[in-house]
Amino acid sequence: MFKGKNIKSILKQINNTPIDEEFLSALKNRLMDYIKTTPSIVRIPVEDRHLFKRSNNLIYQFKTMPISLIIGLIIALMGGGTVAASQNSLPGDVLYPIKIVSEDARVAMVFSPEQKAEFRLDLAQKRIEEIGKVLEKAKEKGDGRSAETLQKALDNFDSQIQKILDKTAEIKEKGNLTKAGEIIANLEINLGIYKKILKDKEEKESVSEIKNKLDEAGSLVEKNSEKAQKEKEDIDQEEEKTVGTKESAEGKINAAENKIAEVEKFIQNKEEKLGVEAVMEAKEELDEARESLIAAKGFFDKGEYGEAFDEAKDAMKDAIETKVLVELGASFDREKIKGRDDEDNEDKEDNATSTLERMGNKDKSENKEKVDKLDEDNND
Amino acid sequence: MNDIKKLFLSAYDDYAAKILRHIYFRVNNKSLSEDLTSETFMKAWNYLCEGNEVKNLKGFLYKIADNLVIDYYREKSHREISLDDVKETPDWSKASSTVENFDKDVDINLVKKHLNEFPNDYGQILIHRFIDELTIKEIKEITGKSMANIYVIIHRGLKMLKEKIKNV
Repeated sequence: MFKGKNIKSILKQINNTPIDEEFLSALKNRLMDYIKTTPSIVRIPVEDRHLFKRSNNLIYQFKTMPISLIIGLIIALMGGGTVAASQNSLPGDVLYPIKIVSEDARVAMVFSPEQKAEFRLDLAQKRIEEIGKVLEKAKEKGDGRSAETLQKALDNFDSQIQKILDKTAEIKEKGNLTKAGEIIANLEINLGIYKKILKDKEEKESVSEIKNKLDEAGSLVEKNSEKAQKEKEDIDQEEEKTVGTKESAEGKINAAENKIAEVEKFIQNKEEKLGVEAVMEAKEELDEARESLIAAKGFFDKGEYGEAFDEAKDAMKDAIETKVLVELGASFDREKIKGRDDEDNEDKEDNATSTLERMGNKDKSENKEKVDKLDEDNND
Repeated sequence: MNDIKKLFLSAYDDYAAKILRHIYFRVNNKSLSEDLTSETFMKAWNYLCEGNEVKNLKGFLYKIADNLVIDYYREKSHREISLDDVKETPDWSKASSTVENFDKDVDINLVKKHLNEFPNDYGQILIHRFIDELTIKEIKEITGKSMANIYVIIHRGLKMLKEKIKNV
């Protein structure tokens, strides 16, 4: 089959591989837009700053410009470090719109809907952290504008969730069910935790106006959870058509294995910030995901692909949950958001039970033996 | 500032296709290679914006691309390259209208597949040398390896590639 006369010439032929020119030209346009909205550290010399003082004419010109261009211009005029400085801003702060535009610019620079959705998940998490900080600030200042600021933070949060749902639908349309399933599972776990955070904050809140807003936010999250749940069911139904096949189980196992490795690395990177104790706890939580993975591999080797698929799916879910808890645990009461004392039994069961318990036996040690046995079988 | 923008966009015109092709052969996935290419240019621009000096923009872009690919594989260390990945977007296969072309396509696919199975340095350096057509000196700047080391890797890499394909 292989002509193999000259490897070098084959390698050089690869050099002529056609490239997607459309992509390159689209990327150039995006890059040009990005360059426009990115500040440089080149600052406007002090003696020239009077040129940028307000004048009626300038204000008129501003009014006729699109918002994004105005923000782009503000960024350019304000110069060095503005975007960096805006990253710690909160809703209601002057720099906050710059933070949002810079985030959107970064999302725009990513092309695949998969990466866009993942990026948006991170942003949704940031929005929730901001809500926590807005509430803290409101408590310190005690001014009447807090409810309004909180509303802004909640709107921004909701907007991220809608975008994630849209992207997930797009990924599903493209036929990448594994990724769509992973993102929706991630979103669902996040929404479950957000719901607990909001409830906790609502219970602790004494200002009735803010309490009401948090209550509304809780309902909104609930509504979005339902949407996510429905989307997840659709994806599950699609996936079920392939469940039972070796390929689907293998794909799910690989995906879970990658996710566990990713979360492990993530935990290690956070060690300094979180402290040894929190890291140990996170690692223990990740062990639950590993147990499911071991079980999945055991079932796979025995040719029970349906079971293997389900276990791998659980492993993926546990790994995602561990990551979200590590991310949000730094900003919120970890025990509260874990929801182990929560009334919501379904969440309790989904979020806190180990794979060992899920395998159907009451006695954990008995289950452990079962997993160990599977492990031994694998080694054989 | 405008000079930097012009310089950067002209570097984009000169190297974007090469960088995209380079990343594509390293990761074997079209949409991922597009994302990493976009990230490469964005990172390069951010670096320049921070006021850092870059002597050789071409080498700098390849270096960022290489690091992104390494990061990607580090994260996906358990990921295996399946035959589906290899088949993913071989645009040249559309040109297989003759038997001769078909044989050539098969050779190219085999070479491509094995390049991805090589230890990271080998694939990276062979792609830099023969696909990106970089000089040994440029590869030295990007990888930080000595010229002698690069020559050895190219020699051994070609030999390994030949062996692997012969055995098919």
